[in-house]
Amino acid sequence: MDYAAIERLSALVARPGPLEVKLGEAAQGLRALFSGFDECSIYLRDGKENRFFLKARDARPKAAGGVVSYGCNEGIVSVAQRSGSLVEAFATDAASTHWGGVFEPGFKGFRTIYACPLKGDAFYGAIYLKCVKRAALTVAKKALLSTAAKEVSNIITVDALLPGIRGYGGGRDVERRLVDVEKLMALGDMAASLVHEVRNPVVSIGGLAARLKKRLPAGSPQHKYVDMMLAEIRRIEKIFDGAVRFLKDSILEVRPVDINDIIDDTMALFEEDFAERGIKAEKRLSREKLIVDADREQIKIAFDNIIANAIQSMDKGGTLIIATESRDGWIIAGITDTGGGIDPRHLGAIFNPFFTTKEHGTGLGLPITNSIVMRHSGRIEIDNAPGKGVTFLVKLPCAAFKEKAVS
Amino acid sequence: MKKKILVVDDEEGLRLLYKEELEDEGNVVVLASSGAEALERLGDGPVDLVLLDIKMPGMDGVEVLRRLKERWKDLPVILCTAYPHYKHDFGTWASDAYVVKSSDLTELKQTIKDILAKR
Repeated sequence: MDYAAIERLSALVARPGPLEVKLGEAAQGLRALFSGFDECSIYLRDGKENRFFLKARDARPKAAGGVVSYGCNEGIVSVAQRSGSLVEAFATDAASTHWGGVFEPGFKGFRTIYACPLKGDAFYGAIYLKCVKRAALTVAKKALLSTAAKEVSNIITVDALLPGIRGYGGGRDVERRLVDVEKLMALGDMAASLVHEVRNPVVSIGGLAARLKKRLPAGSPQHKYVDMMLAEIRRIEKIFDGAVRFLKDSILEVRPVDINDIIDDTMALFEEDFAERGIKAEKRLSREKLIVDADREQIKIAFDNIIANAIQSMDKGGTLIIATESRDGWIIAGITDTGGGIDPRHLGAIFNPFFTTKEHGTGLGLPITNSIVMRHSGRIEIDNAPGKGVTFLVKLPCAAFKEKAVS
Repeated sequence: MKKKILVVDDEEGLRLLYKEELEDEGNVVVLASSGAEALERLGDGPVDLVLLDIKMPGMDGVEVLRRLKERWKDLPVILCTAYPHYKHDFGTWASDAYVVKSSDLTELKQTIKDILAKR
């Protein structure tokens, strides 16, 4: 029974979805596993505010309330951080508010607190197991708790990767990534309002400029000015189209689609670009059909952006390889180029909207692709080889039922 | 016979643009700057087509659309908007066509021609 519980925690690692939800399930699983305990909570450190915040809690119905947050030097969680190992704490009496020299309000209504550290490439926080009575864990149970904590740490590590990056040396700042996701969401809202507010005036200006152009002698300087104005207006409208695609509340029309089919179509559209730049394009598609429940247009856009990026990185020629396969319930499409790879300093930013190293880029292509893939419950991983090239791995979950794909 | 088009938009620049462009195409254009004003204009006499903005202060386009269709079932309405995602709002399915606003009016003008040809 213990092993089954650890397996369930392990399964949460790979499952897409919001971290809070997964931690909630983990807390429930843990309290069921340690059935003598009345509360299981998970506290995570917030780097910006330098506090620990309650992220998940499962408690017996009549149990006393949980503590919402701790300062960086408060609570047994901070003791666990300093010691790096499981802390066992028993309240000396019913009115305990301190333990081992730290302020611990969590003893209110409880006599036992175990704090097990959660860590990956940084200290994340701790799992709290609390009991209203004095309840000591056996050596075996303590080992079980540590093992469970390792799985919960994995859930946090993997979630913070979004998307996953390999070939990037150095530690990753987990808290910074969690904050980045919130920034992206807020940016999406702001972009939506902005586009809407600005679009009407842009339509007026463009439409009236077009009327003006008709009344100006062709070849005159004024005619040229208005031509320029119209070109700029079209550029603005293209930026809007890009920003709108990035919005989170546009609805997907999902059907079973064949990924190999979509890739064939997409690659066909780029044939001229490949020829122009001397790029050798290879398709290594799986023999079996790779069916995903997806919005075909959106997936096409996702691949378009990655291929367009690859082409831009190989302006003096190179090789582009697209390979597809199915593995462990995932459909994986790898797009590899020989464009010199991505500057490791920029890896953390390439999925940020409007980040671009090109003169005329909008910096929306990869963020849009990432948004599309994530909305399909997939993920993007990057295999970066600076100086050589880069592989983008688009992973999408296999369709629930392998019906005939709609072409 | 010249066709009469009612243009409903709260933006003055767009009302000017649409009026000029549609009159060039040989239509008679009536303007309204809000949902309420649009319903008033329709009270003055019949029109052949309505060009309706969705996001307006006061009564929004979807509400106007509902009232229009309640009283004048066969009056064609083209919804204009800055947002493609409104396509999935149930209220908008009642319209006859749906055009995303752009400074290039080609799609709008063609849609209008197609709908007026059927009347």
